[in-house]
Amino acid sequence: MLFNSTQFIAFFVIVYICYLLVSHQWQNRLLIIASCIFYASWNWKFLFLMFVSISTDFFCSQHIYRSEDRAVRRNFLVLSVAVNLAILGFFKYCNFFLGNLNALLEVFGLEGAFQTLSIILPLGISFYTFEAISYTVDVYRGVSVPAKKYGDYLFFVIYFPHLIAGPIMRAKDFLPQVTTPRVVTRDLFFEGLFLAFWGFFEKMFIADNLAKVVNPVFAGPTYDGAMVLLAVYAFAFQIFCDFDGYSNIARGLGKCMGFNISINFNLPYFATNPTEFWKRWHMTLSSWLRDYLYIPLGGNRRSTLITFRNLMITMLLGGLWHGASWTFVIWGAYHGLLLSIHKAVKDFCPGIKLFERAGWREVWFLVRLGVFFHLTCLGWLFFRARSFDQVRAMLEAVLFHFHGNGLYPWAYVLLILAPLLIVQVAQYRTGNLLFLYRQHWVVRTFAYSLMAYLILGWGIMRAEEFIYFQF
Amino acid sequence: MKAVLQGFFRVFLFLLFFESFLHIGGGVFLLMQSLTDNSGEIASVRTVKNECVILVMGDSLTSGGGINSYPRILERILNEKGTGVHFVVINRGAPGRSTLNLVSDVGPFIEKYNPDIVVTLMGMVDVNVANNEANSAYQKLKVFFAENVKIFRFAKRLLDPLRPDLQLRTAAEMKKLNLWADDEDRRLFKEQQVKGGNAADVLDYDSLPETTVGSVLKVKDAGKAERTLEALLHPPPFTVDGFNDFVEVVKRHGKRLVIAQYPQISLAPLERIIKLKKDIVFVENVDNFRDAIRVNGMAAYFGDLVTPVFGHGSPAGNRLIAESLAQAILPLVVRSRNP
Repeated sequence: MLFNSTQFIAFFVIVYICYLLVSHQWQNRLLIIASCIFYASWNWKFLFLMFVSISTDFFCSQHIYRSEDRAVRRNFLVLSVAVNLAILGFFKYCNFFLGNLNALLEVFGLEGAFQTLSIILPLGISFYTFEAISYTVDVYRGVSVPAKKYGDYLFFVIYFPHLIAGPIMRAKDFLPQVTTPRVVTRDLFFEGLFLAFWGFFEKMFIADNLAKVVNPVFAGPTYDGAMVLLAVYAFAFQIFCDFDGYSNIARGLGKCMGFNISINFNLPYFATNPTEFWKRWHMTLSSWLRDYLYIPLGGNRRSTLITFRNLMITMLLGGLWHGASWTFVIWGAYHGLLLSIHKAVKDFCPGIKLFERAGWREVWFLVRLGVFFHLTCLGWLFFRARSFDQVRAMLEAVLFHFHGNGLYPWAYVLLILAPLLIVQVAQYRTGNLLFLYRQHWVVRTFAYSLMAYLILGWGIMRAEEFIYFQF
Repeated sequence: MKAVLQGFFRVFLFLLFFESFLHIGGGVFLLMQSLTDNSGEIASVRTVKNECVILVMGDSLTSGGGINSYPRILERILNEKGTGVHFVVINRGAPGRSTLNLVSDVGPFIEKYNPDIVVTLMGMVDVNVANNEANSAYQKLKVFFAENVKIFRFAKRLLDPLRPDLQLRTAAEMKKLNLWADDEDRRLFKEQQVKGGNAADVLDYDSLPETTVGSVLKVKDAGKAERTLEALLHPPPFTVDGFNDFVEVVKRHGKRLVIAQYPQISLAPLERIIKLKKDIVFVENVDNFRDAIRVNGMAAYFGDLVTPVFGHGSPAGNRLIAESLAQAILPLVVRSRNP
């Protein structure tokens, strides 16, 4: 069930009404059943796979917690992590691995040794396996206490708002919310509703309409420089709005039920350097990578060279996590490189003195913002492209075949982004992500009306083929 | 109590804002469209079959004639040209449909049939609607409300997916059912097969008797005929909105639009009232009818008189309309197939 479908809305309304009427214990049971239905609506068979992962982790973490023997604890940790990585590895990366193996063997003249299997990628697998690993490792480290009841841990993983692509929650943040009764106040309800509404707006109006610019350009086969540039800019915001929108819907729905789900994005394009960017972009993933990959590798405690190695490994794997393709790996490596360079260089560049003066600080900030945004966009080119050939062709187009299709495509993208940019600037300057929600009620009515109009009139109402680009 | 009133006021304000966005949004859309270059070829998804699907919408003038309605004749003419393109013309004309009726129909029809070109011949029914409404001050207010308050029409369009007669079909289903058939269509098709017609006649909803050369045509209601003519020459706001909304819907779907005019009526009123004329092909039927009538008289080309100068077409009259349409449509299609 997609969030932006009538089935889901009907589903949620029914579940929510029941949720408000029953006791805490039954609320948990209701949500577990509802989440199972939610996942099963995609494919009920893979529900069992999730149960395998959940059961293994619950079982292992119980033993880790109860045992005093270091070897036993380590063995159960290894078992749990291995099962989760095996599931993830098989379903997500098997064909990638086989494909590369074939390519390698072809070099030696052995053609088509391995046949790729037709494997379905289970929905949400990257997310729930990572959540599971974080849970078990936290129990091992003594950071959190494991769930007493199987139902509580099951709830933690399967809770439907964040199941598919939601923020990766930590047990110590979420489990207490499962086990203690939740209070849904009027304020909480309306805040949650607002967040979900804003999330729907980002997804259905902004992301889907930007996709209409991005997809034709990335389909090729020929590229026009100006359109490539526009498509990359558009994609930068498309992926942000898609993801942030989804996260906001998850957080909003959770809030309506009294849950506090972690923030996943904090105005990432206002970052002026890579380190800051990763503190603002997909925050739950980057903190996961930091806590369970970067720091165990040694973090930045050891020599500079080792720090770079750790950064590169972490980001390479982080890139690979996004998808089974070398373009994702290169995207990860690219960010690893940016982070390493930033770490190396930042202590030697304290900032040009000229720009310390009041008026110039803003300009310098904007310059750094612009430069870093473009660096990020180059990364997105790798992320979105199908192959390195395509990346090369598109870069060539930008550099050497820059004609353009006139102002219309740019005006279109700008018009779509205008509401988002206005709100985000306000959010940044006030430091309040709920800026819009805190405005005077007339302003809010205006904003909600505009959002509803844009979603209904320019999102849902079949504004297909609105663009007619000719290449 | 105060909270309830406040609540109502907020909802009212919300709707007020929404209404203004509908108006502004329409203007923005027009502005954006005027910046695009849409005059190029028709992008057909049916490159494998080399087919061109034409959806014809209109009132009884379009639907009438059975095997000799002008869409049917158009299909025959186009396919006889030997262009190598297979033309499929879908006749979705129906009696009594005003421009606003067609506005709410065209979106779902486009989604149902996925045509390359949309052809329309409409406007004469509007006089019935406008006339009934504009008599008393109350009715004038109603008309003003219906024409200028967009939110109701918007809401209606939002609910179109729930209309049972306009259920969307998947591409696979459409292919299996030969591109056009719901239960009503299939029933008509079977009927036609029994009667001995050909499959192309399936979608006609009306059938007029043929007239013979020499018979005299009479106007049933002279006053109404004059009013209808007047409404076609000076379209009332109702019709102006209808045409512009129709154009907007078709353009939103990225389809080419061909707007025909009734026989012996000038194109000037249409060209005046339609804001977004870009890439629309206008088809006039003045010279062809005038010359033909001079030779064979009115009764050869019309079965009755809806206005003093035209009525529902006879087979010969419909053929004239079909020929002028074919002349306008062929260049659109052939050019794109032969770059």
